[in-house]
Amino acid sequence: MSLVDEISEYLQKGRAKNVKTLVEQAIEEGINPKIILNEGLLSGMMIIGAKFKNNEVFVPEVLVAARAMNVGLSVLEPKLIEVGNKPIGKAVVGTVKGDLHDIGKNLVIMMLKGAGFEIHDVGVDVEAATYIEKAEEVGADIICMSALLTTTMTNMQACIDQLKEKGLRDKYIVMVGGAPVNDSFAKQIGADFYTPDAASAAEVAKEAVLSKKS
Amino acid sequence: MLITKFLVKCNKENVLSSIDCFEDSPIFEQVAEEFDAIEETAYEMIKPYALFEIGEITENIASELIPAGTKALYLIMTVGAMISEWSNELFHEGNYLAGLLANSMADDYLFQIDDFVKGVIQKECQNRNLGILKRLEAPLDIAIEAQRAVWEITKAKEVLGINMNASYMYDPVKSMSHIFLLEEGLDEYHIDHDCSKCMAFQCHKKNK
Repeated sequence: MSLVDEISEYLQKGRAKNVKTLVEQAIEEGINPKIILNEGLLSGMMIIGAKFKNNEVFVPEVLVAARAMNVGLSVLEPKLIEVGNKPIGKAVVGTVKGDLHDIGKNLVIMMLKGAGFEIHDVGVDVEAATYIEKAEEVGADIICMSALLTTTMTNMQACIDQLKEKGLRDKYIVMVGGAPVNDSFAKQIGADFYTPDAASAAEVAKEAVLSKKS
Repeated sequence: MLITKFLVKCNKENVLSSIDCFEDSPIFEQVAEEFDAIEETAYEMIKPYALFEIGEITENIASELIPAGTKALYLIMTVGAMISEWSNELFHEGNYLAGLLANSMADDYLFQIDDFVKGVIQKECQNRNLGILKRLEAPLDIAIEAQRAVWEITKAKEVLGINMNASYMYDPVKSMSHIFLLEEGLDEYHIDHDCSKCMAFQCHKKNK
């Protein structure tokens, strides 16, 4: 088994210390940091995400894998900057106006990081305009909105309306999620995608951004 | 009445099962160890309070089934904001497992406060010769606006520093409230949450 495959394997098992040691070893051996990232760390996260979707693993396994990825990434990051590695895309993520829940948003951020995104977390209770301002500021590809209440999910519409008013609707992929949200609601408000969980969000976001860029 | 002392602790099994971690999980030991590692700090971050007032159903939340003027007990509970802030910090540090555990511990503690307070409420009602006809939870049994009524009647902002936004959501987020309908001379106490009616289909307690 190659070193990068080993990184992927240990990451899936959530073995952060092993991942850290192997990433350090891979750097010492002169393996291209982009290969360590894509074929080791991100590949491991994609596999664990797919297993989660198929009910082969559960949330805790994903969490420990993500922690291992983070540890590996912290070792690798300086090398990635040196070689000018670019993220797969940039995502603005937040919980909509009126809603203070952050756990769903945090899980989505974790999985988007694991898919290679640069994250801009705008927090909770986010005004529609704030999503757009941040997306414009950082040159985002995707805006992700979360809501946990039926009383706040309607605020997702405001962001989409404002994007339209500003002539920016086609510039951004808009993804929505949260307990009361479903596919028909997403269609009704004009969002591009609804995903039922954090792992699907990362997978769909990656596909959508790659497809838009190609 | 303000309650500040609770003889409760987080239930490890409940917390772990709430994040889909069971004894047959390959990382059960690892998750259990993480729970043990953060438990003490979590208790330092949890600032539990319960506050209740006896009054009447107000016009703005009354309905045909729940007429204005019906005697009622308004209850609000919180574990404070620190535990959620800490959970958020752990997520930002990349310690996702600890972050989710802290969040689930806050939920479990809040549910345990709810259980603990039942005894106090029942005793208070008995002392006043009041029975409990029904437990009302918003938005299932009563309109979501009831959360404002509880917040106002208990003076939760002034007493506990709990805020409420335009969506009737409390801040700290790990707070909840109920209304109990009361009846003079009744010797029954229908104080429990009704799992069979609850819409929280993902709740691990419901699935049990």
